[in-house]
Amino acid sequence: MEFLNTERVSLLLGQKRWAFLLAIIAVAVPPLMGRYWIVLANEILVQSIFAMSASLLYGYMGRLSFGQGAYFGVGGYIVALLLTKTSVSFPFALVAGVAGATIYAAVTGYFCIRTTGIYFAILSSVGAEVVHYITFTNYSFLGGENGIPNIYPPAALSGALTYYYFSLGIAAGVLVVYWLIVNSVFGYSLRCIRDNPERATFIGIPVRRNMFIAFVISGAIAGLAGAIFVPFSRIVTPSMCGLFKSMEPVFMSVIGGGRVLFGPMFGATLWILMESIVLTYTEYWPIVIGSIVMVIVLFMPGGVLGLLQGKFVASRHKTPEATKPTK
Amino acid sequence: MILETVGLNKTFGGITAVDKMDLIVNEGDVHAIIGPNGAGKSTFFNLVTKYLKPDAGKVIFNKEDITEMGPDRICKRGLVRSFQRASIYPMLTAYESVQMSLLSQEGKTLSFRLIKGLVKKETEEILESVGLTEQAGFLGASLSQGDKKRLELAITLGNRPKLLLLDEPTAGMSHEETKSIMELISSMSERHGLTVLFCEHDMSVVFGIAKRITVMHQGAIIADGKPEEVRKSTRVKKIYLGEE
Amino acid sequence: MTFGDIIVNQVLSGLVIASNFFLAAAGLTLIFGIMGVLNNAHTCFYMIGAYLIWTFHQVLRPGPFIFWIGTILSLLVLAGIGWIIERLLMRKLYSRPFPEILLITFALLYILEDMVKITWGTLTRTIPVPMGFDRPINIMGYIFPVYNIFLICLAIFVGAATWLLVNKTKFGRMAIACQTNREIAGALGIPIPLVYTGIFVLGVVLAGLGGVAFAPIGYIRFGIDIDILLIAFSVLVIGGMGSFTGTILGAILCGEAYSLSLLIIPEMATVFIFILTGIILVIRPWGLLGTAGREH
Repeated sequence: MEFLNTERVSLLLGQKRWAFLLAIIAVAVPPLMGRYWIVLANEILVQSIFAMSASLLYGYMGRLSFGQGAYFGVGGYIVALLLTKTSVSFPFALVAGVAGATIYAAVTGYFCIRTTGIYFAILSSVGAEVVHYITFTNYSFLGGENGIPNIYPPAALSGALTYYYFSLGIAAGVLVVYWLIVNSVFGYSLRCIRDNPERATFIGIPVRRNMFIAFVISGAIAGLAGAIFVPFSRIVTPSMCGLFKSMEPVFMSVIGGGRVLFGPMFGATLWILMESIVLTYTEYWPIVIGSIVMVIVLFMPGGVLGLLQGKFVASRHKTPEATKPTK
Repeated sequence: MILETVGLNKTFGGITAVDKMDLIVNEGDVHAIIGPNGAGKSTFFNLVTKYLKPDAGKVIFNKEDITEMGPDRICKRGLVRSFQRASIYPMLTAYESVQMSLLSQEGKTLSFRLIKGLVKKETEEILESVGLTEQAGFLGASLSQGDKKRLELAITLGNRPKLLLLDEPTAGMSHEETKSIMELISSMSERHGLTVLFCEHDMSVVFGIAKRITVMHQGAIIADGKPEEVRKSTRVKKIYLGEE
Repeated sequence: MTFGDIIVNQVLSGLVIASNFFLAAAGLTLIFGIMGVLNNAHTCFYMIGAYLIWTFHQVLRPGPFIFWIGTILSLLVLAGIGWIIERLLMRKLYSRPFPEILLITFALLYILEDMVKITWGTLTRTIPVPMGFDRPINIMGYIFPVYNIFLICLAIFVGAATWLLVNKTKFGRMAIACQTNREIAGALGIPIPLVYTGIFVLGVVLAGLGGVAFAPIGYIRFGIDIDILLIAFSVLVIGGMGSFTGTILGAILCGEAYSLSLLIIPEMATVFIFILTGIILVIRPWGLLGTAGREH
């Protein structure tokens, strides 16, 4: 039971302070790490961006989308195709990737917005699986099951550390944009839609229009994640699209906390760190992460950060009953 | 005349819930619709506010035909409804809930400006008028039942209504709460020139503040006029015999 | 081959595919219809069924009845697995909001898939068509593998039997009562937890039966659960989620559509079904035979 505005309280928790600390760690520590850890940190950044795209829809708009993998994949494949088959510049390829993902998000969003609940989840996953299927079966252009290999970032970014700083810049930018959206009037309109879609309509919020815009923004962010991931991994494969890929950002947001600003990033960090640890001992990572997600959804639906935040608030503030004058 | 319905009709299956109703609401009135359970009061409200689509008839608000408009556009024009069961936002604070109504009415829901600090004065005014100043920072879900009802009203007021439709506003309230809410409503009406149309069960509430009363029975109007006239009507007495 | 030949061939192969789809989706729709849970891990049981029949083929003494004995044993094992999962996990989900249900069952998918991997590895396996069924049969001048015809008959039999079970038996009527109004069902003394367990186990067994039955003519391979999960969703959506007859209709439509597009554009067969699913979700989300209002 939260007693105060937990989002405002998290500012009391020193959200800005944490962000600062995080920024310092993110900038200063990597040069001291080995290559393996730099690459891991880079992955964390990409997955954080990806996870934020999912939690925008799930945590703040209340819609569970299983389709984010589509936009990640579209962004990635467009960048891959442009970088391997043409000689366009790297920034152009990234922008094109994001643009492509955004367009696909607009097309699928137009239809998804017109459904609710479980149908929304299924329709969004259909949107993702169509992309998956096309990339999987098209050998002539898209490389089929093996994808498109040999994708290289420009020489300036080809080092692990330099690409890391590049990803860090992008991730920081996305985090700021995410923060801005979530705390803006638009973001609050999404929260109204999440909490009480009926009431939101009746106070005059154009629900469909705002949901569509949120959907497209989320698709763009997912596309951006895919676009910067592909030159990093040097390859794009069909497994970067589709339903399974779409579950990852959702799971990460849920683990970290869908309604907390740093939730997706925290979830992504936990996921990737745990994965790298588990995989050194056994190949059976899915059973581990599946169990963890299950436990969290069953017992900690607010995610790890949500739980911490709730405890912090509860310990610090009196109940409304205690502060109100007796009737 | 701020609201007029012409031949408003709605049937469910074989039952006519609202039977070709012609109703006029005058500007500035506190207008009550009363009637026994199943008379069609809530259905009528739902038709006017487009929660339900009318089968036939017209709804004219401020000389504009709003029959084909959706709920969000009607709200922007000043026809605002509240819900019988407090329909609030569990995870928004009382303050933010009122802010959103105000901002939505100003058409700003697409703005990426931070919400903090916007429409501060108006929000505080509204919260004060419903008595929720202390609870402004509390999340909707953690408010008491009575406060939820106040918040419900505050959210509605945030839309700066010209005509306020209240669906059983005192349902489930204690005697004192009912009194204070009703005082609030009638002071709102006087102070801001707000027209209020509400439906109620509690007769004492109705006869206390309503300037005009419409009595519904089985989907149709059986009496309409000033409280004294309605009270004297034999037809009304017959319908209500044993109902009190 | 005459035009008539092609048509008959098409329709029949479509029916075989439809039988596969039906068995995979039937349990899913029952569980969703009665308990409101859409189990993302449902087709894992299909895959487990396939692997189980392979295992029994290795373990049992070879003979003419090895397939049938293996089938019965596999279904028993599946029933046990279903019972455990229902009691440990599923019953916690019935009153939860659907996003959590989707997330938890997807996590279950991860877990079950890995368990299959641990138990059987990821090699693709095959088993032979049961003895006596690996010959062609002549129907009205057309030649078909007997086993395929058997599969169609099996699906029809299972469909009819399940329909009778749900609509004509006491158990079935209790289940429908639980679906329509849980409180009244409880007040009438219906043992709701038992009914739910029964339905879930039935659903699991149906899915497993699909895996078992189609193992001889398909591949027993890791990952088949995901392929058929999406098809099962499509069948459900097109036919109507929660509607058993809808699932039958949906399976037939999807099966024929799949078979038809295999003829025309083989690579796009699955995409074609997805697009069909998408269209239905937008214009009539509750499917052809479903009822509106089930999305929450």
